[in-house]
Amino acid sequence: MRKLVPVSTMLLVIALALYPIALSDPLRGVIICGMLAVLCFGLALITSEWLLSGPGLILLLAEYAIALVDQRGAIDEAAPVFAVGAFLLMELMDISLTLARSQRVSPEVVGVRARQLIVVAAVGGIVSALILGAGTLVAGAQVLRLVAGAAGAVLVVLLGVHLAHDVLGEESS
Amino acid sequence: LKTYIAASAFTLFGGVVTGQPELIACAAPFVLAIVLGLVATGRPQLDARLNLSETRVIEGDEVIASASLTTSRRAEVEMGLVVPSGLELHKSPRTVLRATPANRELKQEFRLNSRRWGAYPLGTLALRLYGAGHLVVYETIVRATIGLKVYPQSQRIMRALPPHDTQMFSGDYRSRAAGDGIEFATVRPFTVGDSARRVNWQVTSRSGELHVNLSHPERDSDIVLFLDTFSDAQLAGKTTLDLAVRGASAVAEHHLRHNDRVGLVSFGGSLRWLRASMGRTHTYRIADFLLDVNATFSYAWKNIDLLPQGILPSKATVIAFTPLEDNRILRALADIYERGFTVYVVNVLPEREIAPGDSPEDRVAHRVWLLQREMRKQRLVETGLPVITWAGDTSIEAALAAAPRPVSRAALRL
Repeated sequence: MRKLVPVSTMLLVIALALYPIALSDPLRGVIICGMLAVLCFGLALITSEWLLSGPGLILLLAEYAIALVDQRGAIDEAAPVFAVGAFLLMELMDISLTLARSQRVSPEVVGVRARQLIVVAAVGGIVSALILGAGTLVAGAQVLRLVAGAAGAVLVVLLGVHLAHDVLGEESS
Repeated sequence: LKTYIAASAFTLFGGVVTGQPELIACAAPFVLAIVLGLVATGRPQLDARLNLSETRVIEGDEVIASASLTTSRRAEVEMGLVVPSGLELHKSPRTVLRATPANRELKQEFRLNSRRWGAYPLGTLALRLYGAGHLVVYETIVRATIGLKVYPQSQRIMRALPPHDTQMFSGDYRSRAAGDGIEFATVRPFTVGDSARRVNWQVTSRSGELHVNLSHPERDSDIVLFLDTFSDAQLAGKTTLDLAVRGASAVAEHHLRHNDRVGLVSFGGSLRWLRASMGRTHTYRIADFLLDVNATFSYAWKNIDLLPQGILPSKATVIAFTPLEDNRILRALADIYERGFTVYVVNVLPEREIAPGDSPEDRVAHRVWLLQREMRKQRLVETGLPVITWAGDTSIEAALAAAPRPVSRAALRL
């Protein structure tokens, strides 16, 4: 467990960094951002320092943004998968650092964390797909796109509150 | 939480600026995690306690520190016990991450091994409580004050230094003077007041004159253990103070077992003493005194005039445990000797344990240090104080057995 999670995290970082490169013509900016992101996450894992994973995530998202801007016009249908991947990456990163810091972690903690992770990632993916779908429908209309984005955000909040009571209700009771 | 907010803001802002809905879609899982995490998290009320299985142990014994924690909300708790140097966690993790249910007691045991004697304040528990999704972390330190006393593991010795002078009270040592006792001393002519039971009839019949047997009375002695606490030199796996405390503990135990009165003086940067006494209660007093012995650095000149009257009882035998690194202790010991006490010096810094450095300068410095120590020892021997070296690898009994008899002041004057 203590080796499997960091290795999985690193493999996920590499996969996520390679995806924008495959999406567009290999741009220097995309490659540099990808390499720096992998470096940041690698260093964070080696030093067990969470602070480095923040810039790593921003670099990864910047790499994706540059790739998207480069292939302007075409909608990337795999964006929800990339979003869920980025979220899972951060959660795996946190689990790796927790495992590295704590000498003993009870299996109960891992179970609860895994349940939370699966639920949030699944719902996040669905919401992400909904937002992307709404964005595609109103493609070209900037105002409508913004309204769709706002509606998506409201939906996220409502769904989040509902789930918080259902899935994590026992924690707040 | 900050990372997730930054990522959400970056993607949402980027999405609006570049007109890419994919970027806005990327923010969804992060926004959802923030919302869920914050909704399900609240500041928990904590009640943490720590108990020890034992509060008094012998060096090397195991102690179990049980931490019990109750939180008002369900949370993941990472807890770690702050362990003072001298104790070490044994077969227990340094930190433990566990889930605690709301309003139910969570117990965690930490097994501690007492490595070194001393009085340790235990009870500092570092707690880190994670909210849902680990987005919010509460950190707190719970301080309880539980004292753990780790007594030195003393050797049981069968023989110690015989007292040069005995006291008036009945004890286990044969007095040099003749009187009432069990061990035969000599025969002398009968004088008025002698008991008829002591008449030696064989000598009386041969000489035709009444003779009586004389015997050595059994007396007790006063021992004062003098600990040099001006310095504490680090040796392999031990310190000179460790050796001094262990040696003093073994000698004190032996003499108390033989109904002697034992006193203690900690002579260093701070001056402490324990008046000579005997009995089981005094054994505990000595053990507690030894726990608080620490080397205290000081430039102040100290002499034995600072000791109150009665700390050094007349005719007491003084056994000094010292690394012989400070001239102040040499002066104090010579002073004690000149006042008529019998003094033995136990050197607890064996020179063979200190290896010279690699460079030529280090080797020269080592030789100078050896010469200085030789000079100090020579000064003590010339004054009339026998110096015994004890490295701790053998019994203190063996080291004391090799001690030469102290030279009498009369012989020195000649």
